[in-house]
Amino acid sequence: MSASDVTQKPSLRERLRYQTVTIDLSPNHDGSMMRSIQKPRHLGRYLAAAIAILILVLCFCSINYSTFQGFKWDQLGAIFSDMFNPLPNSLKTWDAYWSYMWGEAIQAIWLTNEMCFIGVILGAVLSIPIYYLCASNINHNRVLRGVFRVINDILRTIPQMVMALILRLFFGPTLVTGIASIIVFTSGIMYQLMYEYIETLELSPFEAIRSNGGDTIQCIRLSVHPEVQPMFFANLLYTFEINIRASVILGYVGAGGYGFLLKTNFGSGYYDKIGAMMIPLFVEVIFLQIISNAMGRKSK
Amino acid sequence: MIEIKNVTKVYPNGFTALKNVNLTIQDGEFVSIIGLSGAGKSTLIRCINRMHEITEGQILIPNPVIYEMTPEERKKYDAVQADPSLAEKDPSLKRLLNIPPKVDISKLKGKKLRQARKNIGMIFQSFNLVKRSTVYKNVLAGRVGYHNTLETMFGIYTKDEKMLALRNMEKLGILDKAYVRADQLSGGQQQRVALARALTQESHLILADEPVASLDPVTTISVMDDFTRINKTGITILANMHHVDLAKRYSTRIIGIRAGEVVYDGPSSAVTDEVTMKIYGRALNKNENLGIEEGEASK
Repeated sequence: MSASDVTQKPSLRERLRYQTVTIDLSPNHDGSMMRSIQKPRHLGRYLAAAIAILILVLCFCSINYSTFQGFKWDQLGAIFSDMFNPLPNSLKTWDAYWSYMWGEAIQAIWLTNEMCFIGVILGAVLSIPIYYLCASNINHNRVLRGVFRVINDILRTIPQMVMALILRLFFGPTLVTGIASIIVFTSGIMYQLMYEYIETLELSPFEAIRSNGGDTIQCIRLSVHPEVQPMFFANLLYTFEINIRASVILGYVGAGGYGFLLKTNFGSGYYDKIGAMMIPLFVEVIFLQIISNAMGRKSK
Repeated sequence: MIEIKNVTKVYPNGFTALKNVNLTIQDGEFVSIIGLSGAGKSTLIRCINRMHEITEGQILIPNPVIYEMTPEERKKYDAVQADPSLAEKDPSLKRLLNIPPKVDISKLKGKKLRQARKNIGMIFQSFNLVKRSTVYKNVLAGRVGYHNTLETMFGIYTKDEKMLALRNMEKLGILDKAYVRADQLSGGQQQRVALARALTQESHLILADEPVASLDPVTTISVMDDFTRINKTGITILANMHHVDLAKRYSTRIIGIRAGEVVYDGPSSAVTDEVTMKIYGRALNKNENLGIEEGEASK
C-alpha cells in the first residue's frame, strides 16, 4: 500500500459502498504479507430486499379476511362431475358428449385457430420493423426509440378485452375484431421479447457488414436477422399459444370463435359442453408447448 | 494511395487516442502498425474506413466515384487527369476533369461513404462472422456494397458474384466448408472466411485489426502467408500487429505508435532494439517474440 492511500481517508460515500478487508497472506501467518482488498457492501440490495418484505407484510395486514370462509374442497368434485359428464339438461348421453367434442367444439377451435393464425402472422410481421427500431444497440436515436417504445407499451398495457371492445366499435362483433386485436396484441408481445433479445446480442458482425459498405437495413438483414431468426419463430409459436388461450376472452366480447361458444354455454349452464370444449383446447396447448420448447432448444 | 494528414482523434470521454498523425500509404504496400495496447493502433485503422470519426485532420482516399465508372469511362478519366489539356479539345471530358481523384473520407456522407467503404476491406481480431449463417453466405456478404437495400433483403446476388465467392473460398482452402455454419469452424478457418469475404468485396485496400491475435502460432503463420499472397496480387494491406517479429517478417514497412503518436515509420528491416525502445518504452526480450526462427523468416 502506498503512502497516499494511507493518508487519504476515503469519503463517507466510498466507505458505505466498500469495506476494506485486510488479509494476512503469509504462509506462517506472521503478518508479513498483509494485503487489503476493497469489498463491495451491496447496501442497496439489502435495502431493496427490506423494502420488498415490508410491502409484503403491509399488504398481508391490510386485507380484510373476515369474509373468507376457507377453501371449499367439495366444489372440486362438483366441477369435474359437471364438466366431464353428460348432464341430463343438455347433452344427456356420452355419445352426444363425444360427438359434441368432435363436432362443434373442434369446429369452434378451428375457427379460433384460423383467426389466431392470421392475426399472429400479420402481427409478427408488423413487429419486425418495430423491434429493430426499439433495440438500443441498433437504433441509436434515443427520441425515435422512445416514441416507438411508448406507443407499443401503451398498446400492450391496454387489457386485451378492452382492446377488443374498442376495436368492436370499428369492425363490429365479427371475427375481424378478433383478428385485429390479435394483431395488436401479438406485435406488442413480439416487439418486447425480440428487442430485449436483440439487445443481448453481440453486434460485431454488424460492424463487419457496415465496413463492407452496407447501409443499416442491409447490415440488419445480413448480420442480425440470421442470428434472431430461430428466436423469432420460437416466440411466434409462444405468442400463438398465448393467443389461443386469450381468444376465449375475445369470444366473450363477440369476436367469434371458441370464446363465443363458451360464453353461450356458460350462460345456459351447459357445463358438460364446456368440459367437452376444454379437452381439445388442452391437447392443442400442450402440443404447441412441445413444439415451441423443441424450437427454443434448437435456437440455443 | 491513402494520405492521413494531421489526424487527431479525441474520444467523447476526453481521451486523446491519436495526436497529429501524418502518414502516406502507397498502393501495394504491406504495412504493419505496432505499439502497446491502447496506443491507438485500432483507432487509426478504424478511422481510415470511418468506423470511428476523427476530430481533426483529413484522410484522403481514392474517390469512390472513380471505381463506379465503366472501364471506358475510367480510361478517359485517367487520360484527362494525366493531361488536362485534352478537356479543351473535347468538352465532354470536362465533367471527368472536375471529378477529384481523391476525397476526404471524413467528409463523406450516406451513399458516398458506403461507396468508399465498399473499396476498403476489413479483417477483425474476433473474425466478426455471422455465426449462424453458412460460410458461403458470409463470404457473399462482402458484396453488400454492390447491391441496393431491396436486393439484399431478398438475398439476390448475381451468378458472377457467386462464382467470385466460390473462387475466393477455393483460394483460401475453405470451399469444402461452403455450407457449414460459420461458428462450427476453427479460429484459423473463420479468419480465412473473413479474408474470403474481404476478397469477394474486391477492395484495393484491406485493413486488418489484429488479424492473428486470437490464433495459435501455427495458424498465425499460415494466415499471414495468406495475407502475403493477397498482397502480391496488388492489394494494399494495413495491419495491426502484436508481435514485432511477425510484423518484421511479413510486412515491407512498419509504423510504430506510442500514446497516439507515430514514433517510427520506416522499412521493417530497420526495426532495431533502439526502435522498439521508442515504441514500447524498452527493448524487447527474445521471449516476447512469437518465436519464428531467423532462417525460417528469410524464406
